[in-house]
Amino acid sequence: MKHHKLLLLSLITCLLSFLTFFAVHATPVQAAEKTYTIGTDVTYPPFEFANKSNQYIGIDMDLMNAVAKIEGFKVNIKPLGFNAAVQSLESGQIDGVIAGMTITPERQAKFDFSTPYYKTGVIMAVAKNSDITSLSQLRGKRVALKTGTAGATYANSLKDKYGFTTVTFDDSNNMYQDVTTGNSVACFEDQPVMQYGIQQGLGLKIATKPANNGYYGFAVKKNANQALLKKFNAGFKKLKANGTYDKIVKKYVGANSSGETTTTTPKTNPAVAGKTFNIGTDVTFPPFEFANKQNQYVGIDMDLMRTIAKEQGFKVNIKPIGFSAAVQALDSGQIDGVIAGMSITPERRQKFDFSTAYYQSGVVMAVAKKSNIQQLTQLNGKKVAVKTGSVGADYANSIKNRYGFKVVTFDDSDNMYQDVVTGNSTACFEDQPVMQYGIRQGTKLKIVTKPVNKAGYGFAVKKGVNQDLLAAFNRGYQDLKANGTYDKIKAKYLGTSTKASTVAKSNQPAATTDTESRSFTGLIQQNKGALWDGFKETILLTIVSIIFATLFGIIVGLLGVVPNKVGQGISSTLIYIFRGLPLLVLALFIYTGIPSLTGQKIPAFIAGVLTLTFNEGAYTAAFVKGGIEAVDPGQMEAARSLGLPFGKAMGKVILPQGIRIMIPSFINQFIITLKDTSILSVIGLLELTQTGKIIIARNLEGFKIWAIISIIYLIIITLLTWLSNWVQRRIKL
Amino acid sequence: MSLKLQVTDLKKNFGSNPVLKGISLDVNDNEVVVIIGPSGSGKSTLLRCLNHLEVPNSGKVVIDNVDISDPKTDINVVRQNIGMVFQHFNLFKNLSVADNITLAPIALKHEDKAVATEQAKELLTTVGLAEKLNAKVQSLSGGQQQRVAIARALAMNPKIMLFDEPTSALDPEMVGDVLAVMKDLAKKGMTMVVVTHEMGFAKEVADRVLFVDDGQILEEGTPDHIFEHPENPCLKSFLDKILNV
Ligand SMILES: Nc1ncnc2c1ncn2[C@@H]1O[C@H](COP(=O)(O)OP(=O)(O)OP(=O)(O)O)[C@@H](O)[C@H]1O
Ligand SMILES: [Mg+2]
Repeated sequence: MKHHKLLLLSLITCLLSFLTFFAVHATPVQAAEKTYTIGTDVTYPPFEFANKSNQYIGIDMDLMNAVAKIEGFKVNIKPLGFNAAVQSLESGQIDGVIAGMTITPERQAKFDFSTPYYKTGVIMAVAKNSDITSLSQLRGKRVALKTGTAGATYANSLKDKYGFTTVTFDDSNNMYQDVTTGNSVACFEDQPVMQYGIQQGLGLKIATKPANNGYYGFAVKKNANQALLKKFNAGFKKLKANGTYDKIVKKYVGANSSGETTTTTPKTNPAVAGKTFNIGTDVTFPPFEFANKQNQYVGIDMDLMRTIAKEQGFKVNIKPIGFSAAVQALDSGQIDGVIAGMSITPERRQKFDFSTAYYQSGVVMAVAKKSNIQQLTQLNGKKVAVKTGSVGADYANSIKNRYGFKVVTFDDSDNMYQDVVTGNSTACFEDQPVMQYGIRQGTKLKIVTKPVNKAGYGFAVKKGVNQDLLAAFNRGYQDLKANGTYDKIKAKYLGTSTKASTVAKSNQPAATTDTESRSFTGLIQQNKGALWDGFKETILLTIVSIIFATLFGIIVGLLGVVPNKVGQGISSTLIYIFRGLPLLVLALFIYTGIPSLTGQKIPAFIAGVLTLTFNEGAYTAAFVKGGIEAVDPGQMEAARSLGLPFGKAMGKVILPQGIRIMIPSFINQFIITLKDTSILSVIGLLELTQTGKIIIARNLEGFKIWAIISIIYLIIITLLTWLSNWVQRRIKL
Repeated sequence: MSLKLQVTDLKKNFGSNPVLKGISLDVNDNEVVVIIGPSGSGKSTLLRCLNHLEVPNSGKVVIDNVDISDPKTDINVVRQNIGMVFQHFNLFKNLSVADNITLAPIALKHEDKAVATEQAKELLTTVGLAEKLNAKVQSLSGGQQQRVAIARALAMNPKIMLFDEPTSALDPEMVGDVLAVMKDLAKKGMTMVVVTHEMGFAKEVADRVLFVDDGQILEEGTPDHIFEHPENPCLKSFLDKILNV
């Protein structure tokens, strides 16, 4: 008894310390003398960016550190992002900013700038094999630009004069690729940035001299921190004089502007070679990820990820745990990366670092084939289906008040489509390629709107974590783009360009091709491997959970009847908490909540068993306690009056009678535990329900597969009931 | 004559309700004391305080020279020497008659099962139920159950026996059997404290009768004194009530 009490006490203590951790968790403040806090951009190579070991390096960083060293002060670099850094400087939160910041009259009104430390200008870059060498050759051609850059401003000011059209991208990599693929003939970019990119293996060359020259300066708040500014200027002068400055610049952009350096990308990436990464993905998001007939995960994302892994020499462990679960698992550090047709959004960027966008998508609205709905205005008063956490859902929610429709949310695409096909919902919002693919595979919907909210899909890692993996992905992607593999992968699933070519069709991971038998026996035959695995996982989960839940329940239940106030209090509290929490919430809390707090991964199976142990155990405890209390108190009094100690009286007299009262509840609880294992599909456990979801995602045979799965559950329940009855008879209570 | 039981100024409250308001009582070796009193007067509570099924708020209980209020006293050992018989028998429903009787000797005195069963047989013979050794508890009548309960209490060889209305849950035709067993026990010299409304039993067997009302002993004396010459008006009206039913 004592021992058990201790165990539970420590459990409670653990819980409490979690809570206190929340309360007292504060960042330690370091107050060293002569330390300046310097803001910079999150990533602006070659000026500032995180290297493989997550240290900030780059021209700005090296320069700042060198100045600090030579002038004898310390710096605390904060990669806040450009805008945030500028604002923090203005509000006096930080002492200075060095972030490839061009000295402009507007900025000089608010900040005091150092001597310019870098001269920059806009250059034009073209594909390596291009023969374009001047602006005049751009007539009638297309030019790629990046939003809000000096390059874009410059190009827009010239386009009428030279007669070219422009296309705008949100990030540099997409812009570069548009040129390497030949969609655009040229792009405009800041010279050092371009130089650095070329040095890193970009297949471009610089074709013009820098124009629209500007100067980068180190900034402090106007009339504040003049001492720091003086030190910077003095230090910079010394570094210029002794050659350190040139060394720093050379380190990042090479000796001259030609960009031809000898650094070649190694075939495998030493930073990640040999490592295995857990990559989360959606259960089903064709054509990006879905299970094929052999129940292997295929799709654009899967092929891309695997190919990159192979090229870069690392291994991946693909986990189809569902989109929201994957995102949460990434956030809590349970997995290393997510590739799941995930649009790069500012919100997500707060928590994740994204790769180069590898796919451009947009949200379209789809309706049933026979529907006459054409536009958003016709949705007034109707229901619209969306998928949790998708861009389509965000879009739908952002316009639902304007157009007066209601949003119904589903956890996966198939259920969402079905809701529209059956007419429960009028329309759904989905990423264009997904919808296109689904329709081609036989989903009875049609697309009625143009893509909006265009966004790039990116591979994500947790912010500031797994930067090697991210870098490897980017590099690998670059290579695949360059050697044409990427286009092949895309064509495999979507056909070449807009028309579905015959080649693509024959390569399709058939979903509705009729080689698959659609009869019950046929379906069982094809999926018997997956179903068997799901069955085993469900059984294992059930048995292990029943054992632990029963132990936990009996201990907590007994603790509730000992003549001890503390024990009773602990017991009621545990029952109250774990019976009160919805199973789903508990599962997500244990699987994604606790690890994001402790940084300690919990394998899904263990998280699942813990969830069921606590939840089912709380119910067990409640009926164990109730069963004991239902025994006539006279029995205990008679036993105690004979001199039997509490434990003996309990064991010899009360429990045998109580257990008889509890037996039906136990059997009931075992069956509930079995059924509750299905909820653990949310944390990606490949048990029966999750298996069913995956199979249906591929063959869309919802009725038949769910019928099969239901029968399997009923069979297990029957077996379990028989087993319980047998045990009950054996112990002759 | 040695003192078997000594109760000094015993007080017990249930919450703010004072149930025992200072009871003092001495019981000698071989003495049979009968307690009478109206319902709710605190008789059962008094009896239950004697073996700490209820823990008194204050006062002292000394049994066989052991102060059971002393925290150093192991109450489980003391209870082995105090047999208790309940109004509702409280036989262990999960056990047979034999197991009911042998449970405590085997578990606490580490008696051999065969020895304990032999003793159980003897005890059952003395209460007139020799043939019921292996019967199920549920198959017995109330009177039989109560006699088994007495045998169960006796199996630990107690030095004192407490009876809390042992016959009031029985059909009238069974009362006699149980009382006969108790008389027999008294004759053999068992020290007994009996709460009962069986005035015949009290007159015949009791050495002393206590009248308890409102948590106090209002009158005590020989059966002759209490039943034939009561002094306290409460006792008089109590006797009027039960004798005139
Ligand atoms: N566990 C308890 N909690 C609160 N009050 C109690 C408890 N047990 C007894 N009482 C109260 O104490 C008082 C005395 O009860 P007790 O059972 O001792 O009376 P009694 O003299 O045995 O009566 P009866 O002849 O009906 O058995 C009653 O008012 C009763 O309600
Ligand atoms: Mg009573």
